[in-house]
Parts: sequence; C-alpha cells; structure tokens
Amino acid sequence: MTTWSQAFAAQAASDLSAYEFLAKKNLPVCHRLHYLQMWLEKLCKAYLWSIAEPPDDLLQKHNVIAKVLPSIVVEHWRRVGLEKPPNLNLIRELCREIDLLQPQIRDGNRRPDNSEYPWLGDSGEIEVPARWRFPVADRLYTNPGKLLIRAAERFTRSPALFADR
Amino acid sequence: MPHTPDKGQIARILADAHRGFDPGIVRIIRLVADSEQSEQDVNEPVKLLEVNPDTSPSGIFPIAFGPDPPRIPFPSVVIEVTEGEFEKINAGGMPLPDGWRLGETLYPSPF
Repeated sequence: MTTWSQAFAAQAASDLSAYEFLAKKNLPVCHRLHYLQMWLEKLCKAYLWSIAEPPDDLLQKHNVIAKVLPSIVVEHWRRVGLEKPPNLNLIRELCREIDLLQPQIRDGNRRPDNSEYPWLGDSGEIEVPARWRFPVADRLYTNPGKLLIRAAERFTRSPALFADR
Repeated sequence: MPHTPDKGQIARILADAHRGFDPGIVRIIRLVADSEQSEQDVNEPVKLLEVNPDTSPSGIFPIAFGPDPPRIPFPSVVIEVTEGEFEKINAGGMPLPDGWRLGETLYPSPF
C-alpha cells in the first residue's frame, strides 16, 4: 500500500520531469517556475514525519519549502561527503523566493507576484505572470541555485524516505 | 562482528555534520522517545532538535530520512526551530510530536 510519503515523492518526481521538459521549451519562464514550486513543495512534504497521518491543513499547506528544503540540502551534502560548506543562507533566501511563487503566499501582500495568476502591481497596472521577469529564475543558475537543484534532484530521483511510517 | 554504534554516537555525528554545514545553528538537542524500550528500537529514528535563528518561525516540522548505512545505520529526524520557538517548547507552549521529549544537549557541548 502506498504511503502518503511515497505518494508525495512519486508526484514530486513527475513534477520534476515536467519542470525539466518545460525548461527546454521556449515558453515564458513562469511555466517552469510553476512546476519548480510544485515539485519542491511535494518533495518537502514527502520527507515530513507527520505525513504518516497528515492533517488536512498540511496536505493543502504551501509555504513549506523555506522551512524544510534547507535541511534536505544539508542531508544531501552530508551523504555525498561534501567537505567545504557552501553558503546555506543564500540557499535559504532562494527557497523563500520559490515559496513566494505560490499565489497564496504573498508575504503580507508585499509580494503578490506569483507564477500562476495575474496580480495588481505597485504601479496600479495588472501584471501577467507570462510577461513578468522573475529574478528568481536567474538565481537558479548561480552556484547556490545549482546546489539546491542538485540536492533536490538527488532526493527526488533516489528518495531517502523513512519507510516505517 | 562489526561494531554497531549506539544512537547517542550517531546523534553526535549528525549534529557535528549539521553544525559544519550550517554555522547559523546555535543549539542542538537530542530528542528521545518517552519510553526507553521505544528508543532502543532500531526503527526508532535518531532525533535532533536544531535551534536556528535563520529558519522561519513556522512551527514543528519533523523532517525524516531513511538510514544511510554504514555510517548512519538508523533513520533520522531533524526539527529546526527558531530561538523563540525553542523557548515555547521549553515552557510547554509548543508541544513536540507525541511520545518524544527533550534529551541531552549536543551543541554547545555541556563539557
């Protein structure tokens, strides 16, 4: 029988494939960022202890990437025997930016920009994700961004799930 | 017969590694099962509570990993909280997962 943890891991793997597919296409960046956020959110949920008997609010909860993914990255580094610690704070900032791609995460209305739905911008204009330049997209190609994606890919493609739940 | 380290040793190995990768961690406490028998079970994870001002104050999120033999022969769980959340846990205002309690402080070293 599939556990919640395994189910989230399987969906995260499928979202990763969609993210990689979209990354090769000449489409607005919002589409691959949308799948990036969905992939990483489900990956994080796959590793949550409480997912054994998850409350409904956890299943629907967003805003978990900044809280959970840095610990997954650290565990990846420990497992591969990385010797020189990279700057984890830059990775935390990036994780927070990825959480903010989800339309319900608005940082107290300070950050209505998201990868999915139009929003009313500071200028009073209605902004469209497909036309928006997301700075986070460029940060994925920096060293912290590459380290983050590498760790997330490893824990998605070769899950280190706690099986006895 | 190969020597299997106990969970206390494994907790220290994990705590040292995490501190090495994340200098923002200000305190690491081992969590243990309420029952000694449960804690001895090989399927019961090694559990660390890490206090880190750089994490977001969003509550108790235990993150669970499978074993990583031979170095880490047990499953492990990490809970990262802010200093304010740690004070609430200490004061009983923020419960740990059922059946777990605070154990020894691994960092800073009590010695």
